[in-house]
Amino acid sequence: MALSPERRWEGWHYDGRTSNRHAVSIRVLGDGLAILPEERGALHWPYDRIRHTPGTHAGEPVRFEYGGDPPEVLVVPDAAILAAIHRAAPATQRRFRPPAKVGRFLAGTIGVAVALVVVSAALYVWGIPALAVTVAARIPVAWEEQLGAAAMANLTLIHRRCEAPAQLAALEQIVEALTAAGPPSPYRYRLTVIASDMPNAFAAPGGYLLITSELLRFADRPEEIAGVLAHEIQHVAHRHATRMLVRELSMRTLVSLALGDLRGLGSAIDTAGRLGTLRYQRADEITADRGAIPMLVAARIDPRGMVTMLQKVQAASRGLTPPPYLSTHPALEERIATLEALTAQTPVTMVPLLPDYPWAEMAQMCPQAAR
Amino acid sequence: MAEFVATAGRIVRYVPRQAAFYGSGGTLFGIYLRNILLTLITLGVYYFWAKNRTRTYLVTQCEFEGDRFAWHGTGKELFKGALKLLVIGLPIAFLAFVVPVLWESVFAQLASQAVLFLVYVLLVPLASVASRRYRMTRVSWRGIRFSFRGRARDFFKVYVGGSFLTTITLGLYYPYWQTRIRKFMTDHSYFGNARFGFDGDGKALFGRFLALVAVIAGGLVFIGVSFGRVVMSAFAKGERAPDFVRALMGLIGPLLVSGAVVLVVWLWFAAFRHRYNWSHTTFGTARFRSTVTAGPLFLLALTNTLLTVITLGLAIPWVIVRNAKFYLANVQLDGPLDLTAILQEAQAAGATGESLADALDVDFGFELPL
Repeated sequence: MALSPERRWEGWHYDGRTSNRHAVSIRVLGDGLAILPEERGALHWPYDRIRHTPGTHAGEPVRFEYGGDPPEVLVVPDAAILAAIHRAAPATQRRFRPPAKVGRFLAGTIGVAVALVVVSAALYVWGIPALAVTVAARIPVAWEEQLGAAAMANLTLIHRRCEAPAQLAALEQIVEALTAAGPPSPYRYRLTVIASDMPNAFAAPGGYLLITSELLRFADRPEEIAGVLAHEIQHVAHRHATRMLVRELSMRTLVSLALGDLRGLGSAIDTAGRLGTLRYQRADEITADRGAIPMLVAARIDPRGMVTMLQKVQAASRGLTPPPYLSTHPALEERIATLEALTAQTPVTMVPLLPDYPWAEMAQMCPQAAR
Repeated sequence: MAEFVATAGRIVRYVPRQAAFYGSGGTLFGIYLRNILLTLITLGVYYFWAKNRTRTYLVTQCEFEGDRFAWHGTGKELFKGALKLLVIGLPIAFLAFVVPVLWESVFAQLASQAVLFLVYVLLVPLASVASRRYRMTRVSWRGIRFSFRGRARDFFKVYVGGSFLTTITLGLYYPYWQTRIRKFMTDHSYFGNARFGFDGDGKALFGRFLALVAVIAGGLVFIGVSFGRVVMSAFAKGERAPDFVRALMGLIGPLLVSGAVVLVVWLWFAAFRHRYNWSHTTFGTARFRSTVTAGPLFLLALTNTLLTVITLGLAIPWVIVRNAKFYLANVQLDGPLDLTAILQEAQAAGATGESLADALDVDFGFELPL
């Protein structure tokens, strides 16, 4: 349906100097727009000097700017003028975009929604964890130590430290036995015991290990605590907590930016202080379990202590809300099964750990712990 | 409601001049969704373009007297502004947030507190002024740019002084403070070479503000006393748990009623303040007027809350559009006004202040030009 080239378009012209508006009629020519103000002489605007400013949505008038500083403005209520310009001057296709039809915009929105789900899932499952691995590997050990110290300071604000020297020395001896047998590590491991009625263990970045008094009460022999410590040391060595922080931080930053709400950024920054509330990924737990067994074996410590320890905690937590350290994926049963299979293959010529230490004393480490 | 206005015996024009908003929730939803997708794909870099895109849409959907507003900001300038800000912003953020986490010493904690205090005392007023300057200079109507010419150092006095007075009067100065801020922001706003003005002092708000505070305090006291009586009688009689719970359940009704009373009084105050603010805003020889009243505002707030809750927030674009339509449909400009006498007088302004305001979460409103 060819429009008559003589068609005149109604519009408004603003000269850019005053806030007056002038009713004009416009003709679409091959090289530009002819604007015919009623009371003054005609204007001729070549296409290559006209800017089409948004609106680009259906139902919006078309707004052109011409010249500069300040520009003149032309507003045409009927957006069909854009199509008329394309017909008159096909080379202007890119400069003057007709608004998308309402239907097309809606269909596009549905496509965008689907893509959004896919992209979010890909970022969550793959992109951000990959980023965390890369970034965490490049963080200096000294920074990790400071992060760890801050996390520990936060945790020991809530929970009392247990300082019994004899018991601490025995526990440190276990850590020493574990690390001495392994390859050299950039981390110096520091162990803290806190008074808590939850059987729990935790590793902060930079070599900070933490176990609760209740976990000590669960352990009938040193090998069981050695198993837990070996697992936590693996978390440190693989920088799992640091990765977790990077993951959490980048996730929150991205969500804040995407939703256009920067208030989330402040809370992202203090994530470090709330390290204790975060959870490892399933793969991290498996890695820590699988790394702990050879570490125990190299130190000639019976790795089955790890299995019996988990079984005891599982029995105790049955029917209760499981404590965070143990409720993380994979499920306890699964971890126990895997560990049983792994330990079954190991030779049992192990040296008893701490043969001279009266282990029963360990349960008395925090006598007045909150129960 | 047209009437004739005459100056010097000559009829100048029909009034009132009317504002309107034409946006649609569906389109805004589509824009939001595209923004979120692109921001995720670009790992956050698109944020600035996204912000500008939403703003462009919202501003160009506003109309006053048959002409739409235009938005001239760009994502690129916001991005550059943010980059510039990083140079000073990163050390500040490091001192304020990272230092106290990494170092436990008292000195580090004090330094961080001092930085945060200085940020709030110095940077918040600076950002408020700079961001308003940015936003005003990027809006035009009929080809004429708006501008804001207030200086940060003058606003600093208004802001910090008012903040101090509000604190020592236990909040009683608050309506005066807010009015003084509004006066500063309006008095330094221009359309072309014509100035806006604000001639309210907040006195008329004070009585209603006191009434609002009294109702809120009364509601809190009522809830506290009823709860206290239930607990005390339970103790005195040694009631069993189920009786105690039943008595507590009996409080739900009065609680909801007092909540509803507070909400109604709050909206009554908000509607009055809205009308007050607009009726004290002038432009040249003309004066604005808002016809927002408590009843329709209550209906709007109620339906918007229901929409947001039922859709788990997905309806937020529709809520934004409903609000804009409601407020702009109620704004008029009354009185004689010679638009032909207004001349272009564009002012330059960088986008760094806008980024600063964004980073500090400062927002004195005015997302829309009026």
